[in-house]
Amino acid sequence: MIIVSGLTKFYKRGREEVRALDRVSITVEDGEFITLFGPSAAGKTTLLNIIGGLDLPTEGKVSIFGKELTKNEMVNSRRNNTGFIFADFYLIPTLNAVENVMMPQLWSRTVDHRKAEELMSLVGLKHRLRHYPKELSGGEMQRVAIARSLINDPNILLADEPTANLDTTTRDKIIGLFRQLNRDKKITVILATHDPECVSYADRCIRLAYGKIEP
Amino acid sequence: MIWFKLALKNILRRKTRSIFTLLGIAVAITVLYSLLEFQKNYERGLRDELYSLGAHIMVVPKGCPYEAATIALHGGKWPRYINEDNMARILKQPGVGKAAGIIMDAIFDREIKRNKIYLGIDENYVSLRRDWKISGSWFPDSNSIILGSTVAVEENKKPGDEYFLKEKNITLRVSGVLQRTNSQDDGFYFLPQKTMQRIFGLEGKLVVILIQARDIEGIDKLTMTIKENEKDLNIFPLSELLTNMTRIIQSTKVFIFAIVLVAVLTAMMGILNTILMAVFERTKEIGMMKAMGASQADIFRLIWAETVIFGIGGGIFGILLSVIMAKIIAAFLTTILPYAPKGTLIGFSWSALTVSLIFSLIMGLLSGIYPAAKASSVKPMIAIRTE
Repeated sequence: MIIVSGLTKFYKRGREEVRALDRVSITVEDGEFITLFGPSAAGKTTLLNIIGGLDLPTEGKVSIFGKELTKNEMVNSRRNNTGFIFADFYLIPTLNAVENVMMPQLWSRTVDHRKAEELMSLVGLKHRLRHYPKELSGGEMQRVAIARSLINDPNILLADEPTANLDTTTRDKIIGLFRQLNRDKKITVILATHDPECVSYADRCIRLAYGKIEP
Repeated sequence: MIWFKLALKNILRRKTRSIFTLLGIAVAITVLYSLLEFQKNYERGLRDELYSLGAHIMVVPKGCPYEAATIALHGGKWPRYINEDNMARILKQPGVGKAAGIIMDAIFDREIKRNKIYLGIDENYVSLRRDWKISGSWFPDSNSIILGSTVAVEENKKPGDEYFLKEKNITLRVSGVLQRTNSQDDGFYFLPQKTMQRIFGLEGKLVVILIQARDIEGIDKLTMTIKENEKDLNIFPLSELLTNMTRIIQSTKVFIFAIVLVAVLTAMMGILNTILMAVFERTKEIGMMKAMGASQADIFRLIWAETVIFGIGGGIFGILLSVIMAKIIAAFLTTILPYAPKGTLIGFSWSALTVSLIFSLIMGLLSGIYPAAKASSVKPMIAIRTE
């Protein structure tokens, strides 16, 4: 279970102070599929980053599986609890698809080539193992990114606008893949999006605007 | 493996930039390797040449003693002479075991475009050269010549053949050919001393006197005695010559080390700049790696691996470059030194290779600290947002 309580985040933008999140509290049950829905600058990415251990809140706290996410716990949480998926995929251009999938294992020192190939198979890219990112389509690159996010067996998938750079057909396939992973592997999925079409796939939708949860 | 591959592929992303960085390191290591090799081979070569003289003390005319020593060792023309009277007086000194006077001259041969070195010697000279073996015989008469082994091959002469010394319009007969000594003697033309003095118009003159002391402990005392009696000559023990020559090289070494230092610092700046630029270009990627669980230490290690690859790669390239360019580098170094022994001055040795590789590794490690620290301190969230 993920418990977010009283989360507030200020940013400095020049001399201006921006309140990205304002006393946000949510609870996500294990195996839930949640969408964080809202316009740009609503605070979706900030909330994802804090839950994923990429950033610290100004106030409030996050607890994952009963353990508070402190500064010291951030790396471990990223390595063991969460898998990240971004709109821009961020594949390493000099590594082929399967090497990109294995990349997070470098940090946990458990490189498992067979597992990476199985995940490539799971996302439907068994025939693209040795292809480099520049040889893949946007949808394929996002599938590789999803396989990469699963390599360390995370309990939580955090996806930040994962379909922003994809056409609608590919978008539906990718969202379908998230749904499948959520259903079959019982992985908790938190997906940030401003696309109203994505909302229908989720168990629950949390609407954010100006850093606050809308009722 | 994937770790190394990742670091290597990062380097290969910007090929031109990486090649120039690698070249910078290679040049620095080439200078270092060459210096180490030169230093070692120079001292060994110098010692071997001095010892091959078979003498303890060298007597030469007044003038620069190092120039005189060079002439004495490698042969040449030096328009300063010792009279045979000096030789006669020196021979009377009680501490003298053996002594040999030598007259020498050089004639420039336009066909082969280099000097032919002629030495006028007598039996005393041979008594100092214990390792001499002559195919044929010692001078049977005054019109004889003995050829060094290299010279005999070049001239295509064997004992019994005639040798025409065209510059002096005189025909001599080859009485013997010196078997290879691996010393300067292989490249000389030896004439009977009186014949040489007559042909070259140097009657009663000598260029150098080599003295073997009766006992080694008495060398210093003998040197002092001869110095007192022969004030118009330069007298020095060969050990002193070796020390002084080495000292000159030591002072030159400071200059060359300064060049090495500049080259090394420049190469390190090159690595630092290349990797730092790569870190800035890959900020998003580094952020993503951190998002995937990479710790600060992981990123530090990855960037450090890249600089170490640069260091080691440049080191290996530099060593290859030194071995390939050994003759050119040695030729350059000998032009700035007062004296250079013959033989290989820059070759291959495991010791120089090991030192150079360790040095290149240290270069890689040191120059990687700042870029690696910079990369590892990247905040993942800010990095991912970076445009």
